[in-house]
Amino acid sequence: MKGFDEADDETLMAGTAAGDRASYDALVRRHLRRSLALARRIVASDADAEEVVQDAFLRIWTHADRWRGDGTRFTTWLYRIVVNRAIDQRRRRNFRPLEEAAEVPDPAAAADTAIAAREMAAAVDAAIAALPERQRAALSLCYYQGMSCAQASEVLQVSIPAMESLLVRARRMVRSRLHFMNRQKDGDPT
Amino acid sequence: MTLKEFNHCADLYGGAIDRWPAPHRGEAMSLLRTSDEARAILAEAVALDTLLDRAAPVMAQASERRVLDAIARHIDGPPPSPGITLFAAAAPVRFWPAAGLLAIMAMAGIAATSQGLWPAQTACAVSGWDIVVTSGYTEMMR
Repeated sequence: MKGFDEADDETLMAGTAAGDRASYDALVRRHLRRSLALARRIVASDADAEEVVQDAFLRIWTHADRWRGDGTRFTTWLYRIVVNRAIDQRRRRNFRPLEEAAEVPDPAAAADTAIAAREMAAAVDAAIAALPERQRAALSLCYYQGMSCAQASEVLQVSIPAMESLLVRARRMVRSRLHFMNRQKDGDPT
Repeated sequence: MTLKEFNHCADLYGGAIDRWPAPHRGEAMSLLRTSDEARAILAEAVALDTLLDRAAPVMAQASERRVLDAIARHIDGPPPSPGITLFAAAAPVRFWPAAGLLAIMAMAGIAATSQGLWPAQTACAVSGWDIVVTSGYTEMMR
Protein backbone atom coordinates (compact mmCIF):
# COMPACT_ATOMS: atom_id res chain seq x y z
CA MET A 1 0.00 0.00 0.00
CA LYS A 2 1.16 3.56 -0.65
CA GLY A 3 1.95 5.78 2.32
CA PHE A 4 -1.17 6.78 4.17
CA ASP A 5 -0.80 10.42 3.17
CA GLU A 6 -0.72 9.54 -0.53
CA ALA A 7 -3.40 6.86 -0.45
CA ASP A 8 -6.82 7.95 -1.68
CA ASP A 9 -9.88 7.81 0.56
CA GLU A 10 -11.29 4.70 -1.03
CA THR A 11 -8.03 2.76 -0.49
CA LEU A 12 -7.93 3.85 3.13
CA MET A 13 -11.56 2.89 3.55
CA ALA A 14 -10.88 -0.56 2.15
CA GLY A 15 -8.10 -0.90 4.74
CA THR A 16 -10.49 0.28 7.46
CA ALA A 17 -13.05 -2.30 6.40
CA ALA A 18 -10.33 -4.93 6.80
CA GLY A 19 -9.80 -3.73 10.38
CA ASP A 20 -6.64 -1.72 9.72
CA ARG A 21 -6.57 0.93 12.42
CA ALA A 22 -3.79 2.97 10.79
CA SER A 23 -5.89 3.42 7.62
CA TYR A 24 -8.82 4.52 9.74
CA ASP A 25 -6.73 7.02 11.70
CA ALA A 26 -5.44 8.51 8.44
CA LEU A 27 -9.01 8.94 7.20
CA VAL A 28 -10.11 10.60 10.43
CA ARG A 29 -7.17 13.02 10.44
CA ARG A 30 -7.77 13.89 6.80
CA HIS A 31 -11.47 14.70 7.12
CA LEU A 32 -11.90 15.76 10.73
CA ARG A 33 -11.62 19.53 10.26
CA ARG A 34 -14.03 19.76 7.34
CA SER A 35 -16.50 17.42 9.03
CA LEU A 36 -16.46 19.58 12.15
CA ALA A 37 -17.04 22.72 10.07
CA LEU A 38 -19.92 21.06 8.24
CA ALA A 39 -21.55 19.86 11.46
CA ARG A 40 -21.00 23.23 13.13
CA ARG A 41 -22.99 24.92 10.37
CA ILE A 42 -26.00 22.76 11.20
CA VAL A 43 -25.96 22.32 14.98
CA ALA A 44 -26.08 25.02 17.62
CA SER A 45 -22.71 24.70 19.37
CA ASP A 46 -19.12 23.53 19.06
CA ALA A 47 -19.79 20.81 21.62
CA ASP A 48 -22.71 19.44 19.59
CA ALA A 49 -20.59 19.50 16.44
CA GLU A 50 -17.86 17.53 18.22
CA GLU A 51 -20.39 14.97 19.41
CA VAL A 52 -21.88 14.60 15.93
CA VAL A 53 -18.50 14.12 14.24
CA GLN A 54 -17.23 11.75 16.90
CA ASP A 55 -20.36 9.68 16.47
CA ALA A 56 -20.07 9.74 12.67
CA PHE A 57 -16.47 8.52 12.67
CA LEU A 58 -17.25 5.82 15.22
CA ARG A 59 -20.08 4.63 12.98
CA ILE A 60 -17.65 4.45 10.10
CA TRP A 61 -15.29 2.28 12.17
CA THR A 62 -18.12 0.08 13.41
CA HIS A 63 -19.85 -0.29 10.06
CA ALA A 64 -16.82 -0.21 7.80
CA ASP A 65 -17.80 -3.61 6.46
CA ARG A 66 -20.85 -1.96 4.88
CA TRP A 67 -18.62 0.18 2.71
CA ARG A 68 -18.82 -0.85 -0.90
CA GLY A 69 -16.28 0.58 -3.27
CA ASP A 70 -18.93 0.76 -5.98
CA GLY A 71 -18.13 4.21 -7.25
CA THR A 72 -19.58 6.12 -4.30
CA ARG A 73 -17.01 8.56 -3.01
CA PHE A 74 -16.01 8.16 0.61
CA THR A 75 -16.71 11.84 1.30
CA THR A 76 -20.28 11.43 0.02
CA TRP A 77 -20.81 8.64 2.54
CA LEU A 78 -19.07 10.51 5.36
CA TYR A 79 -20.86 13.82 4.80
CA ARG A 80 -24.20 12.04 4.52
CA ILE A 81 -23.64 10.53 7.96
CA VAL A 82 -22.47 13.86 9.39
CA VAL A 83 -25.42 15.82 7.93
CA ASN A 84 -28.00 13.27 9.06
CA ARG A 85 -26.54 13.04 12.56
CA ALA A 86 -26.32 16.83 12.79
CA ILE A 87 -29.95 17.26 11.76
CA ASP A 88 -30.97 14.59 14.29
CA GLN A 89 -28.93 16.32 16.97
CA ARG A 90 -30.51 19.67 16.17
CA ARG A 91 -33.99 18.18 16.39
CA ARG A 92 -33.18 16.48 19.68
CA ARG A 93 -32.10 19.82 21.09
CA ASN A 94 -35.46 21.20 19.96
CA PHE A 95 -33.68 23.95 18.13
CA ARG A 96 -36.18 26.23 16.42
CA PRO A 97 -34.94 28.41 13.57
CA LEU A 98 -37.67 31.00 13.94
CA GLU A 99 -36.84 31.56 17.58
CA GLU A 100 -33.19 31.80 16.78
CA ALA A 101 -33.97 34.23 14.00
CA ALA A 102 -35.48 36.53 16.59
CA GLU A 103 -32.09 36.64 18.30
CA VAL A 104 -30.28 38.15 15.35
CA PRO A 105 -27.98 40.87 16.66
CA ASP A 106 -29.52 44.26 16.18
CA PRO A 107 -27.44 46.11 13.60
CA ALA A 108 -28.98 49.40 14.76
CA ALA A 109 -26.61 49.18 17.72
CA ALA A 110 -23.79 49.90 15.33
CA ALA A 111 -25.67 52.48 13.29
CA ASP A 112 -23.35 55.33 14.12
CA THR A 113 -20.28 53.55 12.86
CA ALA A 114 -19.45 51.23 10.02
CA ILE A 115 -20.36 47.67 10.88
CA ALA A 116 -17.24 45.93 12.06
CA ALA A 117 -16.22 42.76 10.27
CA ARG A 118 -16.93 40.70 13.34
CA GLU A 119 -20.41 42.06 13.69
CA MET A 120 -21.10 41.48 10.03
CA ALA A 121 -19.87 37.91 10.31
CA ALA A 122 -22.19 37.45 13.29
CA ALA A 123 -25.07 38.84 11.26
CA VAL A 124 -24.34 36.43 8.40
CA ASP A 125 -24.05 33.60 10.92
CA ALA A 126 -27.45 34.50 12.30
CA ALA A 127 -28.98 34.72 8.83
CA ILE A 128 -27.62 31.26 7.98
CA ALA A 129 -28.74 29.88 11.34
CA ALA A 130 -32.27 31.04 10.58
CA LEU A 131 -32.43 28.89 7.43
CA PRO A 132 -34.37 25.63 7.44
CA GLU A 133 -31.98 22.80 8.15
CA ARG A 134 -31.81 21.30 4.66
CA GLN A 135 -31.17 24.68 3.06
CA ARG A 136 -28.42 25.22 5.58
CA ALA A 137 -26.94 21.82 4.81
CA ALA A 138 -27.11 22.63 1.09
CA LEU A 139 -25.30 25.92 1.59
CA SER A 140 -22.68 24.29 3.79
CA LEU A 141 -21.96 21.49 1.37
CA CYS A 142 -21.79 23.62 -1.77
CA TYR A 143 -20.27 26.75 -0.38
CA TYR A 144 -18.14 25.78 2.59
CA GLN A 145 -17.23 22.24 1.53
CA GLY A 146 -16.81 23.23 -2.11
CA MET A 147 -18.95 20.37 -3.43
CA SER A 148 -20.75 20.53 -6.75
CA CYS A 149 -24.54 20.39 -6.78
CA ALA A 150 -24.36 16.83 -8.09
CA GLN A 151 -22.09 15.68 -5.23
CA ALA A 152 -24.14 17.52 -2.62
CA SER A 153 -27.36 16.02 -4.00
CA GLU A 154 -25.90 12.56 -3.34
CA VAL A 155 -25.09 13.52 0.23
CA LEU A 156 -28.60 14.83 0.89
CA GLN A 157 -30.14 12.08 -1.22
CA VAL A 158 -32.19 14.44 -3.35
CA SER A 159 -32.33 15.05 -7.09
CA ILE A 160 -30.00 17.61 -8.63
CA PRO A 161 -32.87 20.04 -9.41
CA ALA A 162 -34.08 19.73 -5.81
CA MET A 163 -30.55 20.42 -4.60
CA GLU A 164 -30.30 23.48 -6.85
CA SER A 165 -33.61 24.71 -5.52
CA LEU A 166 -32.43 24.32 -1.92
CA LEU A 167 -29.27 26.25 -2.69
CA VAL A 168 -30.99 29.07 -4.57
CA ARG A 169 -33.57 29.50 -1.83
CA ALA A 170 -30.83 29.46 0.82
CA ARG A 171 -28.79 32.18 -0.85
CA ARG A 172 -31.86 34.30 -1.55
CA MET A 173 -33.06 34.01 2.01
CA VAL A 174 -29.67 34.96 3.46
CA ARG A 175 -29.42 37.91 1.09
CA SER A 176 -32.93 39.05 1.86
CA ARG A 177 -32.33 38.82 5.59
CA LEU A 178 -29.11 40.83 5.33
CA HIS A 179 -30.88 43.47 3.22
CA PHE A 180 -33.58 43.67 5.86
CA MET A 181 -30.98 44.18 8.55
CA ASN A 182 -29.21 46.85 6.53
CA ARG A 183 -32.49 48.68 6.02
CA GLN A 184 -33.09 48.55 9.76
CA LYS A 185 -29.62 49.95 10.31
CA ASP A 186 -30.30 52.78 7.90
CA GLY A 187 -33.54 53.57 9.71
CA ASP A 188 -35.78 52.53 6.85
CA PRO A 189 -38.93 51.07 8.44
CA THR A 190 -40.13 49.37 5.22
CA MET B 1 -29.37 33.79 -21.74
CA THR B 2 -32.20 35.83 -20.28
CA LEU B 3 -31.80 38.05 -17.27
CA LYS B 4 -33.91 35.61 -15.27
CA GLU B 5 -31.59 32.73 -16.15
CA PHE B 6 -28.59 34.88 -15.30
CA ASN B 7 -30.12 35.69 -11.92
CA HIS B 8 -30.78 32.00 -11.26
CA CYS B 9 -27.16 31.11 -12.05
CA ALA B 10 -25.89 33.90 -9.79
CA ASP B 11 -28.01 32.54 -6.96
CA LEU B 12 -26.98 29.00 -7.65
CA TYR B 13 -23.25 29.30 -8.32
CA GLY B 14 -22.36 32.65 -6.76
CA GLY B 15 -20.58 35.66 -8.17
CA ALA B 16 -17.50 33.96 -9.64
CA ILE B 17 -18.44 33.23 -13.24
CA ASP B 18 -15.48 30.86 -13.62
CA ARG B 19 -17.32 28.55 -11.19
CA TRP B 20 -20.44 28.49 -13.38
CA PRO B 21 -20.89 25.52 -15.71
CA ALA B 22 -18.96 26.01 -18.95
CA PRO B 23 -22.02 26.25 -21.25
CA HIS B 24 -23.31 29.25 -19.27
CA ARG B 25 -20.08 31.21 -18.99
CA GLY B 26 -19.92 32.59 -22.53
CA GLU B 27 -23.56 33.65 -22.56
CA ALA B 28 -23.19 35.23 -19.15
CA MET B 29 -20.18 37.26 -20.27
CA SER B 30 -22.09 38.46 -23.33
CA LEU B 31 -25.02 39.55 -21.20
CA LEU B 32 -22.72 41.36 -18.78
CA ARG B 33 -21.34 43.45 -21.62
CA THR B 34 -24.78 44.71 -22.56
CA SER B 35 -26.90 44.73 -19.42
CA ASP B 36 -26.58 47.04 -16.43
CA GLU B 37 -29.06 44.85 -14.58
CA ALA B 38 -26.90 41.77 -15.10
CA ARG B 39 -23.89 43.67 -13.76
CA ALA B 40 -25.90 44.71 -10.71
CA ILE B 41 -27.02 41.13 -10.11
CA LEU B 42 -23.44 39.87 -10.35
CA ALA B 43 -22.15 42.59 -8.03
CA GLU B 44 -24.76 41.56 -5.48
CA ALA B 45 -23.76 37.91 -5.80
CA VAL B 46 -20.09 38.80 -5.30
CA ALA B 47 -21.02 40.82 -2.22
CA LEU B 48 -22.95 37.88 -0.79
CA ASP B 49 -19.99 35.56 -1.49
CA THR B 50 -17.75 37.93 0.44
CA LEU B 51 -20.14 37.94 3.38
CA LEU B 52 -20.44 34.16 3.34
CA ASP B 53 -16.64 33.90 3.36
CA ARG B 54 -16.54 35.98 6.52
CA ALA B 55 -18.91 33.56 8.19
CA ALA B 56 -16.95 30.42 7.31
CA PRO B 57 -17.02 28.29 10.45
CA VAL B 58 -13.62 27.83 12.03
CA MET B 59 -13.27 25.11 14.60
CA ALA B 60 -10.50 25.38 17.16
CA GLN B 61 -7.71 22.82 17.17
CA ALA B 62 -8.84 21.93 20.67
CA SER B 63 -12.09 20.65 19.15
CA GLU B 64 -10.18 18.39 16.80
CA ARG B 65 -8.03 17.11 19.69
CA ARG B 66 -11.09 16.36 21.81
CA VAL B 67 -12.76 14.41 19.02
CA LEU B 68 -9.58 12.43 18.26
CA ASP B 69 -9.16 11.58 21.95
CA ALA B 70 -12.80 10.56 22.33
CA ILE B 71 -12.63 8.31 19.27
CA ALA B 72 -9.45 6.67 20.58
CA ARG B 73 -11.04 6.14 23.99
CA HIS B 74 -14.06 4.47 22.43
CA ILE B 75 -12.09 2.19 20.15
CA ASP B 76 -9.09 1.40 22.37
CA GLY B 77 -10.83 1.43 25.75
CA PRO B 78 -11.55 -1.84 27.56
CA PRO B 79 -14.54 -3.61 26.05
CA PRO B 80 -17.52 -3.50 28.40
CA SER B 81 -18.38 -6.84 29.95
CA PRO B 82 -22.12 -7.40 29.46
CA GLY B 83 -22.39 -9.55 32.60
CA ILE B 84 -20.63 -7.12 34.88
CA THR B 85 -22.44 -4.15 33.42
CA LEU B 86 -25.81 -5.82 33.83
CA PHE B 87 -25.34 -6.59 37.52
CA ALA B 88 -23.41 -3.49 38.38
CA ALA B 89 -25.99 -1.23 36.81
CA ALA B 90 -29.21 -3.08 37.47
CA ALA B 91 -28.68 -4.53 40.96
CA PRO B 92 -28.77 -1.29 42.97
CA VAL B 93 -31.83 -0.13 41.10
CA ARG B 94 -33.80 -3.35 41.49
CA PHE B 95 -32.52 -4.72 44.77
CA TRP B 96 -32.51 -1.79 47.16
CA PRO B 97 -36.04 -0.50 46.59
CA ALA B 98 -37.41 -4.01 47.00
CA ALA B 99 -35.30 -4.66 50.11
CA GLY B 100 -36.38 -1.35 51.61
CA LEU B 101 -40.05 -2.09 51.00
CA LEU B 102 -39.76 -5.54 52.61
CA ALA B 103 -37.95 -4.09 55.62
CA ILE B 104 -40.65 -1.45 56.10
CA MET B 105 -43.38 -4.09 55.86
CA ALA B 106 -41.60 -6.33 58.38
CA MET B 107 -41.14 -3.49 60.85
CA ALA B 108 -44.79 -2.48 60.48
CA GLY B 109 -45.92 -6.09 61.01
CA ILE B 110 -43.81 -6.54 64.14
CA ALA B 111 -44.97 -3.24 65.57
CA ALA B 112 -48.63 -3.97 64.87
CA THR B 113 -48.44 -7.46 66.38
CA SER B 114 -46.58 -6.34 69.49
CA GLN B 115 -49.14 -3.59 70.09
CA GLY B 116 -51.99 -6.07 69.72
CA LEU B 117 -53.35 -4.28 66.69
CA TRP B 118 -52.91 -7.33 64.55
CA PRO B 119 -53.73 -10.89 65.75
CA ALA B 120 -50.80 -13.34 65.93
CA GLN B 121 -50.82 -16.10 63.38
CA THR B 122 -49.10 -19.49 63.61
CA ALA B 123 -48.81 -22.29 61.18
CA CYS B 124 -47.60 -25.87 61.44
CA ALA B 125 -47.50 -28.76 59.05
CA VAL B 126 -49.42 -31.77 60.18
CA SER B 127 -48.42 -33.88 57.26
CA GLY B 128 -46.62 -33.46 54.03
CA TRP B 129 -49.76 -32.20 52.34
CA ASP B 130 -51.70 -30.39 55.04
CA ILE B 131 -50.98 -27.07 56.54
CA VAL B 132 -53.10 -26.01 59.49
CA VAL B 133 -53.23 -22.34 60.07
CA THR B 134 -54.17 -21.17 63.50
CA SER B 135 -55.09 -17.59 63.21
CA GLY B 136 -56.13 -15.05 65.75
CA TYR B 137 -59.13 -14.38 63.54
CA THR B 138 -60.33 -18.02 63.66
CA GLU B 139 -59.76 -18.06 67.42
CA MET B 140 -61.95 -15.00 67.73
CA MET B 141 -64.59 -16.57 65.51
CA ARG B 142 -64.94 -19.51 67.83
